Amino acid sequence: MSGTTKEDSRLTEEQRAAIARKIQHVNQVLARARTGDETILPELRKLLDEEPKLWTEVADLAECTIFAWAKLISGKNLLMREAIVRDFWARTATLISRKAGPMERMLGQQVALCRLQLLHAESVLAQSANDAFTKKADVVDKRITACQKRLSRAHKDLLAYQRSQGITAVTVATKSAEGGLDPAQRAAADLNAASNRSSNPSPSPADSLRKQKETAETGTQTTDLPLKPPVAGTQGVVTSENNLEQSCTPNDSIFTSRDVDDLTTQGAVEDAEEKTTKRDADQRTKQLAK
Amino acid sequence: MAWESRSGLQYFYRSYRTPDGRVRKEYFGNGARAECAAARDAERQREKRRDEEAIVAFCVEVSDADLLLTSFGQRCSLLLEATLVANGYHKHRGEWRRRGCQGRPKKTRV
Repeated sequence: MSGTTKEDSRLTEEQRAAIARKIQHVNQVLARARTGDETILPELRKLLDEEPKLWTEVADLAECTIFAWAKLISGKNLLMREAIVRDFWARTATLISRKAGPMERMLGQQVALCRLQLLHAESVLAQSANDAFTKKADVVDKRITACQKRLSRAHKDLLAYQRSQGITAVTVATKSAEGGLDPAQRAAADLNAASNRSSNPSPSPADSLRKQKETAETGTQTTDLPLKPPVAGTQGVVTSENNLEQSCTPNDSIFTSRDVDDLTTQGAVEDAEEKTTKRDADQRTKQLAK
Repeated sequence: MAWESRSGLQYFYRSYRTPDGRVRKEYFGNGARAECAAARDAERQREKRRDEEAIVAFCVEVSDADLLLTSFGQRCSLLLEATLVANGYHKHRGEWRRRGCQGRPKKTRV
């Protein structure tokens, strides 16, 4: 998507009209589906499969939207504009799985766009705090609330879709603040993780957590994956859909669903914490004895 | 808030509404106190107008981008709904559920 130019993704007016008709048709089909008419399902599936231009049009719209927001936020600062656009693509990439289809990509873009809208509103509020515009501050405050709701809804949509496709979005803060992994590093991490899995099929969640804690405490990396050590103060493991917003920073990496499965039970986490505490206490006792 | 004529002289009155809904007028006379109150009121009105203009300018500034985002969001919702319905899901109190699946889906908790 990022590779295509804006001109490539432009559609003619005729094509747009055709797509608008098609979307209207989808709406009608959905209206029938909402009433519980299951006979409509084959038609709906066919419609979605045979209309790649539906996705193209939405992708085009996403691109227009991001450019509009980038322009709005950056003003005449072209460097900032470029940075915003790049950050948008990077953020979208952190939200979606590696083999994301058009639907997931679109929902990821929606989340990133909503976040951009929220950030813009927050920056305007900060600016209006310096001015004497009290009513404007109230209006912007309300806008922030609306943006937060929209962002939350976009997140829910993305999660619903990912859940329906069996994708578990989990982010683990395991990298430095310099930036996310590039595709080559990510591929290397995948390969390494796959080879580790084949040699050690089920690494326990306790081990994973222990390693993370060790890395956070000592600054030395003991993880099997070739990832950079985490920064002190970053979150360890976040999976809940409620705090996904906090967790989805571009510095986080997306783990595979298998890694997620390893980290599922609360009991295992507690065990891991207990073990770590016990080991720390042992170390301290040894040091004291010395 | 106005200067009112009384027997050929201008007197300043400030009108306001009481909590019970009645309109009251406060008398300031025509001296320095009246001038001061009038100046203060005028300044307040200017501030109010500036505030309103700032709000309108902000709304106009973000309207294009907002419109695009709203349109994009609507498309996303429509296609998501279409995809999930096609995959056998339905919406139950704002939550997407697979047909025949009872209760909330399990959440991963770490």
